[in-house]
Amino acid sequence: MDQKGFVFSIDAFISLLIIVLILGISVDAMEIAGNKIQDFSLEQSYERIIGNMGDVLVTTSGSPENWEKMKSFGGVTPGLMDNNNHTPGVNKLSMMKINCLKSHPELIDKIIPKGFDCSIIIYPSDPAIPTISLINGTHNHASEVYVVNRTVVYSYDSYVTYSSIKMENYVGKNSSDYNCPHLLLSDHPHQPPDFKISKPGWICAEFKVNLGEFNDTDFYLLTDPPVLIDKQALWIIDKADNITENTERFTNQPIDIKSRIKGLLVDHGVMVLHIYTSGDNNKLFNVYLVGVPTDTPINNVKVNFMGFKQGYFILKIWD
Amino acid sequence: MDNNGYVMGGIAFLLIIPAVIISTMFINVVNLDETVKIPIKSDTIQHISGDIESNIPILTLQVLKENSDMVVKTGETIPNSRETIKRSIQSKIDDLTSKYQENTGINIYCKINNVDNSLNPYAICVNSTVDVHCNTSTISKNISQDIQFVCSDSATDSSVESYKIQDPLPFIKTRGYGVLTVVGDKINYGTTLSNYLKSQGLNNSEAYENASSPLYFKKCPYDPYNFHGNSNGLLNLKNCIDNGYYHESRAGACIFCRLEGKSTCTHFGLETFIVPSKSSVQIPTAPCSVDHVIFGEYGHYPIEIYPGTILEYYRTDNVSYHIFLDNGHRNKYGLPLT
Repeated sequence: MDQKGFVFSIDAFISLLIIVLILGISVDAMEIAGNKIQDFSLEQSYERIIGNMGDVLVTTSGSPENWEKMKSFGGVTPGLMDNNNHTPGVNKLSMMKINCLKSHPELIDKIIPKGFDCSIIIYPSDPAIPTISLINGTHNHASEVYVVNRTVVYSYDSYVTYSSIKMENYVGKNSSDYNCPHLLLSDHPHQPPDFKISKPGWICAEFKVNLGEFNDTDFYLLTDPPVLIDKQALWIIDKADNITENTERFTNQPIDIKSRIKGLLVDHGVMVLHIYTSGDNNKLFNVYLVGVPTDTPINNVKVNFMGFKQGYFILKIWD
Repeated sequence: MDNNGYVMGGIAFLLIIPAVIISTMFINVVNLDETVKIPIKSDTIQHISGDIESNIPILTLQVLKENSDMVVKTGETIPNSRETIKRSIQSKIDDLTSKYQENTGINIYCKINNVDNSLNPYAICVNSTVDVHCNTSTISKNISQDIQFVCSDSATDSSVESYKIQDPLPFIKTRGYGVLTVVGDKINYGTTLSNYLKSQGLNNSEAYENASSPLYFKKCPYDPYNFHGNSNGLLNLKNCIDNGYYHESRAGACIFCRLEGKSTCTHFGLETFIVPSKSSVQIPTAPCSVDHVIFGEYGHYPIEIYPGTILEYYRTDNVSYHIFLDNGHRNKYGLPLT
């Protein structure tokens, strides 16, 4: 204390004031930063959880691997990756697993955190293909919605392609890789077309149907485009040891060939698909021989449903 | 320093405290920024390891094609083919990973551990380890891939088609006996094969003048194999021969041993028919028309070249399409026994 009775000088008072002010601001800033860190880590934690959840669904085939074929789903962890013909590095999903999860949406509870709700939708890149909604859910009152987007490939329908003949692959060639049994016929041997000089001809390819899969499968011939410009196009299905020259024309619809396959499926299932083309470069088309599960409506057998489709797997989660 | 020996005044000292607190907070914020980057990089390394994995089959087929093309061109064997193929795949993978490394700055290491036979004779097995490392994230995978090297006429996947692998064995075995010509998907032997068989001291080697055999490995669809004989007039056998299919065989050589110039091996291998030219003159017996028999070792024990009796599988006018088969092979393919 000085002679005037002051404990602090004016300088010391101002210094203390500044220190208190700085300390106050620092404490406030620390609290704000602390809250932000907490929010951020929570957000990161949810994002990591949902990211992992998306990866579990897209990059694993679940546990057990063939869970979609099981009668009871106790102890099942769902995963959607196609474990047959899986190409590494590609998120290839199995349509059977997708359909199974769609029928049993409660299985998703095994991998989402408690108290959370979710929705899963696959949006195809091709707008002609319907969107697949695996798990429906609405998040109208949720404060935060976390989203995972993964690019995936999947076969929209469970088609098996037994044979595919693509004319553009034969444009530069005037010989075939396959020696057609019809070359034995002296009257109408199957000579390949020559697209350079618009010479008509036959393109032939063999395919194999196993007896075991026949009962569960319907067989169709599809063309791309569905309505052919090449009006001379014809087809034959036969076997090397059961040759026929009965040609048929394509229609604007998928052609049901199950009875034809049944008639030929004696002893062995190695058959030959023969396609006649006018050899006109401007009238190229593709032919696919596909198998679909029995009783699939013919309206669902479309050429643009065939093969693997690219899509976006969108998983949303909220509390 | 003041008269009392203090470096700084009390107030200056008090002012340092909030400065320290503020700088600590600033460092924390910088550290948080770094944690955001980790999951993003984790995704990238996942994709890179997947990319490397999916490139191994393509590079393996490229290497197999390059090696078989080289043997077809020179007729020279590839000693220790597994090791040679492994080294070639490793070199291609190294090129690929260094490109990834340049573009992404991520450390990638892929080691081909082993190249060997698969349980499927139409495929080879490649074992590898992929390590992708970025900051604190690492992915390490041991991968075993069965890579199919045969093409099929019914194949709907065209990726294998661009890597049609040629059978090197006929070019190695007949080197120095004449010239082989390639017509489409077939090898035409001219007089080369009959010269080769004659040099081995075999009877009726002239049956193989102008013989032919398949050039590319193609899987036979007539499986079980007794379907070959299970048809009206052996037309399935004719279709199989016309299209040059290969069959699974315990006695036939695997792809690696073919590259090494061996016609038989202890691995699960492949066999195909070597077809004598169609002719009006029929010889009743000649060396059996299966590649591991024709190209087998003669005069040593066990005897690998043995005769077969004629089997006419098709006839038109006066021309006979035939092969020579022993009862063992006739039984395998469901063909009439002698």
